[in-house]
Amino acid sequence: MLKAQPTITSIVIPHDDIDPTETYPLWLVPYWAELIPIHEAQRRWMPAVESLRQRQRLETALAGGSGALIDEVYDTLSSLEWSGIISGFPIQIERHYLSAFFTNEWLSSEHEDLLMDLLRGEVNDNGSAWRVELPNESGMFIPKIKLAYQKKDIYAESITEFRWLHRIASRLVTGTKTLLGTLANVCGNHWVAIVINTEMQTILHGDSLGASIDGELCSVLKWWTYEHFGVNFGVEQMEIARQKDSYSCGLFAWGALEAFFLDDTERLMEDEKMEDCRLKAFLRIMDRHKHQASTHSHMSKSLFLLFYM
Amino acid sequence: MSEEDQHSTQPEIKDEDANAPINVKVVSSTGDEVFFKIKRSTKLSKLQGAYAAKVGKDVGSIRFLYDGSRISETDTPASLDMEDNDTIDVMVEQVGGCH
Repeated sequence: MLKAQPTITSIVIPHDDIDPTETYPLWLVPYWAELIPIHEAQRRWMPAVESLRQRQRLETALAGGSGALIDEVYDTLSSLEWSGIISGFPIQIERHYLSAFFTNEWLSSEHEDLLMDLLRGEVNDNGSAWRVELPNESGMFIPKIKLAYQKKDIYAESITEFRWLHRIASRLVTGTKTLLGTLANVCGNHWVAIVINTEMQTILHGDSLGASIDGELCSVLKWWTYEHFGVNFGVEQMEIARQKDSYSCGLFAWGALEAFFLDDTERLMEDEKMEDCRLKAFLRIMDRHKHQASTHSHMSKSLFLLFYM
Repeated sequence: MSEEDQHSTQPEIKDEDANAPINVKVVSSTGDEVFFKIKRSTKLSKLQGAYAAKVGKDVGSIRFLYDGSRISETDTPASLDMEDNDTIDVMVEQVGGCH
């Protein structure tokens, strides 16, 4: 509007408590338009940085603590722009999501997608990608199958609506892929690991709380596999570390998939300090980000500045 | 979905193919459907904004997927090779920590 009307040379702020007749230059509008999102990003990062600071003070005083890891994370943060998109991943996720790796915040489907893409990269690197299907948007894959289950009478004919599922199923049925790994969100508050092994005709389920598979999830997965294979798949437990807190299921479920597909039980994170596991996951994400991050950004405010604000 | 629920969100474009509208169905994870009529050259971000406004949600809190991949800011029906009566999935962000 301001550009369209060049006769406007200043603005007033009618709700200004001190002097509503005071005039301000036009640049005030774009200035705040740019600054407000930065403040919002800063607001999200502040508790994360404070949490890390506290740990740094504590851990450096303890022999055998996590001081070196925390120092490495601190160094990494000092060169991270704290707003913008995380580079190096197929989906665009705002950087402020990374702040969850410094606190006990529950992980969301955005975090899980980042973690699953790290796994996808390692599966590619170790040469087993030819038989492993790790759907994009893993947090959304099971909801889509649930939707198909609701519409099971028309699923087979609904090629357009369920093209994604049909395409993945086709790769499994033809044997192009023999293993599918994904995460499922149960009851809106809990992540579990799922592997479909088409050679063994088995659905593997890993719950860090030790529970057996959720009834609805079981029905949906058994229906989907039967729909495409014409065989009743069995359900078995998969190896997963036991959760002892109230916030780490997202890491454990991902760890179970990493352990399974990379054949490395250390990935389970059994008996590890989960605060450290979060930091290690953050560093892996940052490693990918740093390799692909653009050197140019219109918001070149680093977290380093945050420490002094 | 009735006619009045259909939206057209792009001003006219001279190129005839780009101008051709297609029908797109937006389906939520609960199966609710909203239909849009959209030109093939229109950025899908406009459709996303219109959908969010219609269902009364912040556009940043919902995810739009086409064929299993997230729709980006610059995607259009043409760039995604979408066809008439194609489907876009809408998913809400999920969280988990413990039962």
